[in-house]
Amino acid sequence: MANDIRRFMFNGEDSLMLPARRDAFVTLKEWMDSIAEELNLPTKTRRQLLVSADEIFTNISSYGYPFGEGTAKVTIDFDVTNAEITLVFSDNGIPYNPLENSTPDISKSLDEREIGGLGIFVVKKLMDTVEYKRENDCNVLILKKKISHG
Amino acid sequence: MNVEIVKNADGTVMTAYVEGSVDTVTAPTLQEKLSNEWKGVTELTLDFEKVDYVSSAGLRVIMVTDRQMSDNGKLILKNVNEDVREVLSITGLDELLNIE
Repeated sequence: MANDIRRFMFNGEDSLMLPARRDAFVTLKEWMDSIAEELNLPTKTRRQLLVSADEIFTNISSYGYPFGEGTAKVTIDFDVTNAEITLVFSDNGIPYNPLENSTPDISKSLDEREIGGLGIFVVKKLMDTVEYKRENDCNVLILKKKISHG
Repeated sequence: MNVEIVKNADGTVMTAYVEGSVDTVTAPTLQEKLSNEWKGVTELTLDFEKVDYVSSAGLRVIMVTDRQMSDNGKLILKNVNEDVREVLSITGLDELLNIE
């Protein structure tokens, strides 16, 4: 039997198109907060999703379009059968797989550490799965998280 | 995000009460407010009681502030919720910072 999957709408569209600028995260955050409320997500899950979305969106905004302005598209699905949320980020910026980033050395002291580079590492830990693909000249990142109440 | 800064009479002890999320949008504001006030401060406390979540942009502010304070004083993180603590723990920062 096929899973019952629900696509969240934003202003009548089945995705949210954002300018790839860090300040646009405000719009994504508001949308995600309203979805969290609708699904009655546990506070912990809501925060984990927001932190992860922040990291991915910041990456796209900071590195995706070095030669000009661009956009990022976000879709959010809820798999009712498996109680799983899927966030998909697409951008048509330069080909870039953030998952190939080297893992930061978290054993180093604060003085020795590079500031930055922690974002994707955090996403990998907070989400159940994170996948990258290059599709139709777009970078596509797929984040999945199961919802557990309790 | 909101920040309220309170200092003692001689300006050496400072507490920043942070409210909301410290994320990619708000972290630069927090950084600016702290940088404007930390001169002469030897004990800086970030009170996170009313913080919702912290992303790596917020971690960066904490690391920069800790680096600044480590020369002449110390940084203390206070009232950190368990989800912020999770992010600090994932990145190993919980071992390196003073968390009360």
